[in-house]
Amino acid sequence: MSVVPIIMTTRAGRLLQLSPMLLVASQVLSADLPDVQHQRVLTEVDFLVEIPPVSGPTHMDQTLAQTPASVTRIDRATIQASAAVGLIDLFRLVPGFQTYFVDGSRMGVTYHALGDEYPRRLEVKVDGRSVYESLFSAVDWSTIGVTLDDIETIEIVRGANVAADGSNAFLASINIVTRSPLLDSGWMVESQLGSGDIRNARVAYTGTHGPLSHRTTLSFRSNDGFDDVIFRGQPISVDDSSKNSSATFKGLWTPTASDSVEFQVGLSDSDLGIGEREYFTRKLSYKYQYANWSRLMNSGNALQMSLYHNDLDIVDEVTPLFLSEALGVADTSPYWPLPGLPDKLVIDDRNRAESERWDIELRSILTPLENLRAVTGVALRYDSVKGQELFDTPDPLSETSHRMYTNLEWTRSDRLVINAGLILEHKDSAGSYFSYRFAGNYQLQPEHIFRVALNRSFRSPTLLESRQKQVVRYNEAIILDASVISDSEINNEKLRSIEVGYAGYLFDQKVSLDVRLFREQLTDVINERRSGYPDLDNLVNIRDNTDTLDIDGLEVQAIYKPNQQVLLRAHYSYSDIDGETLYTSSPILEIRDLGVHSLKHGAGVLASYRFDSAITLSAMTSYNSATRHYRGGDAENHTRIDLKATKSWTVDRSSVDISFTVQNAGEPYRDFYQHHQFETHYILGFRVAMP
Amino acid sequence: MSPISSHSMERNSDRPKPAWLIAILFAVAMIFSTGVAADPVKLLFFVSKPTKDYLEVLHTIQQDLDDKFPSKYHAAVQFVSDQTAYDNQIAAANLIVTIGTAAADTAYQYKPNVPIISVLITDSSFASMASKHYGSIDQALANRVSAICIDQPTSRSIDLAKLLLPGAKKLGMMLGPSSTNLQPELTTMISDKGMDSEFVVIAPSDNPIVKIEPVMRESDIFIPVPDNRLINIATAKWILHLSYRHKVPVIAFSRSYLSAGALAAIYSSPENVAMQTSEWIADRATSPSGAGGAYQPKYFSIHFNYSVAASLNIPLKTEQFYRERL
Repeated sequence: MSVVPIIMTTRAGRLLQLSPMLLVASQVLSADLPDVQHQRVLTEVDFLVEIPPVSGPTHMDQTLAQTPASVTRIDRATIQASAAVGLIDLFRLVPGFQTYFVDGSRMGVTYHALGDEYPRRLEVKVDGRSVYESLFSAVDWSTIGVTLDDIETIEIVRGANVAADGSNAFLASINIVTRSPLLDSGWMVESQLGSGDIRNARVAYTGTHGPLSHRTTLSFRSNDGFDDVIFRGQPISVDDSSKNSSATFKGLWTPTASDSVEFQVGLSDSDLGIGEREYFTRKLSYKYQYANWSRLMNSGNALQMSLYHNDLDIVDEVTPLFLSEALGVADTSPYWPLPGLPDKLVIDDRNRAESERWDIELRSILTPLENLRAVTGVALRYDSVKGQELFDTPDPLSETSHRMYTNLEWTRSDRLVINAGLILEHKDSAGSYFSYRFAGNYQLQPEHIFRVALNRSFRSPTLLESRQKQVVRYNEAIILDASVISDSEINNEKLRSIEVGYAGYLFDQKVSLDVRLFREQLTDVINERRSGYPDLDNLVNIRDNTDTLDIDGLEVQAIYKPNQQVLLRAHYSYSDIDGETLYTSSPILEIRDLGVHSLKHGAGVLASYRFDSAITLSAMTSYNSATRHYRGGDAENHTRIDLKATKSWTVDRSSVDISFTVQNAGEPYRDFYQHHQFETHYILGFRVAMP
Repeated sequence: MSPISSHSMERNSDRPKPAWLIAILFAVAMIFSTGVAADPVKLLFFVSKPTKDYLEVLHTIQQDLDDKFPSKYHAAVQFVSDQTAYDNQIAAANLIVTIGTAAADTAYQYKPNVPIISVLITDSSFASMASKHYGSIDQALANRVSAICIDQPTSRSIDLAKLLLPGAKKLGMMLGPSSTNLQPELTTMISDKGMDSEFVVIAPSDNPIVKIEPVMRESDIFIPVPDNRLINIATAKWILHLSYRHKVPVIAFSRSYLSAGALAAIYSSPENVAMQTSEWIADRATSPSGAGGAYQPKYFSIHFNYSVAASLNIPLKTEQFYRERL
């Protein structure tokens, strides 16, 4: 496949940027046109064909022996057996993952390190559509519009997956696969009421309209967040309640046996209370459209094209502030810092920001040789952000990025499979860079596989990270306070990692075991350093490549599922961070240790048993050792126990479930901020499905 | 010297001594009784490609013959994907075994003067190769070409359906372009089992969901008949999703289909193929001449997905129970 130069800036150039896609498509299609003449003679190849399960981290259908990474799969049975109430509760089942509530509205999910208010180094996709927001440089879990009942499986790749999923999959990647409209029919109504003012409701309808199978979902979620506290003798009114309404539509059309078209549209509105000590209301309005076309060839090769559009609108309702109120000094005072200039409103009551993304990707899955499979793709992405308060300009800022990737799987012998992945990315702001992964899987015995993998990855700064200029101005010439300014020469983050893994089955496949031993070296990690600045407080945070860290770790995951009634999942993770951050660059150089942010030990157990009487009892336990949240507070070691009891009935063809869940049955524990205490919550759930 | 002794001497020099004769007769008897002097039967394996299923058949046949008849067979192996000429190898062989359609295609074009047994081949591709190289199946058989086909009779799947769901009233079946002509015969088979039949025929240009869903909705059990690769892969996902929605069990034709969500699978595994092949080779040694034959699979593999069975509330008996009745 020839490569067209990808650095183009004109409109004609942007059209030409699509030409690698057209070239890939034409070569795949011309080499393997579907056989429109009915094939009458069947060969053994037709009988022996492998029926694919789900695709793996490389977007190929891969077995345990072929997968180049440690993968945790959370399937529908696990979701139903768990005591999870919200989506992020499921990530407590994943070794190495941290989940927390920054406040009642913002949820954080990160993989073994660097989890701040907006964890940045995790790619999250829903049915292949990235929900990573360049305005936050993170995922806002409240907007993605996915509830537990929408999910069929979640596949989590632990370790860098940049070669398959792009640079945001720097530490790990999550792909959430929602349920096909074919799996259900009719109405489903669900509701949860609980302490903490938990009020959740969902209505879904699945049906067909001519050749189109579809599911429409309306959901509403609300809670009142963390309780008010007295912290260090001071009362804190924690106004972090949240409300979210969302509507999604998912359609499936299969015009021919070879083709399938899936499309989704969704919108959600959220009212969130945001803050640490002082809180304000954030209104989020999120819309997306997504389409995916797949074509299967006679030979088993496949072609996929996806196109999506995400649009996010944020309005922060803050207390308007006059300069005199901020300073505590009247403009008539001799201490007024701007002699001759009057007082004025410097912080508006509404701060608005927008982000938009367009992404188109073409992917081919080929078997060029008997023992060689390849996933190859090209993609074009357009990101745009706008926000006076964040970027100090009313104009939108945008960038176009391209990526080309290939993941090869070479079956060297019955026992040895080699995976090699390479991605070339180009961004206007970051130039061109490539990341790779190289892994070898050796099958010692049919059910025991050992793996060695090497990763070299880059993560380019997002628009927010590279272009942020958060200042409060008096006028065009006077900056009163600079909060965060991005360094003009901010670079890509870099990662090198090596891992040794084991995956296998024991006891007649009743137990699956996964072990991962790894070392990750991260350099040029983007954070903020304090620096001198000529404003009212003489300080600014410069967003720059300030951190260097090594992470050594071990993860173990075991699943025991001997039959439909019993499920036992357990995991343990150890990680140790050795690194430093440039905390202050001027006037005084200060370097701080990052090791305090290690989450040294994490563990979890899910135990579930379904009785013949259709009662299911579940217990989820998670333990985290003491740590300091990155840009948050200290958290003591704590154990959280969630319990759930469900009773199910079948009435005619309808099914009814009633559940009672206790979240955190033990002592309250500190979450992200020290004064945010996660108390015990009691939730009553009701669910009826009427096909 | 007496006249007797001189005559005796003359007699001894004129006739073979009895001891030598006995020794010669004994040696001949030894040779024929033990076959020590017989050369090993030279088997030439043509294999379509060096991948998992083909290699498993090859190695299992070789291992089985070695275990049962040590040193009786000498095997040479050629992979068709090597794309060389095979005249010398064929000339040296006593019996040719082709594994896969491409291997049969290659071997038949040489029209060798030794028996050929084609395995890991379907009914239709054997018929096609036989017609291509010999003019007809009969001509191929007359030229000592034989085949062991892997197509499991659909009647076996229908029988299994009735055993799994004795109360089933309607059986849904998916046919493709290559199997649509079987519909009348299959209707009779299903009716003989006390069930009504509902067929859906999928062509590459059809919307598979629109066509399969009404049949799945009305069926108590569903059987997709294997067709070309595209139809098999393209429809499997929709069949399994619809079977989940309508709680209709699927009886599939491969292990991977079972793992993907079918209730049961009945199929010819490489091991089944290899067992029947090594039996045929061993029998052939006792009757090396004679016309060839086309054989149905004698053995079959049967597996169940216990998770699916539990979710559908279908109690499963032992594998032996079903095997004895199929």
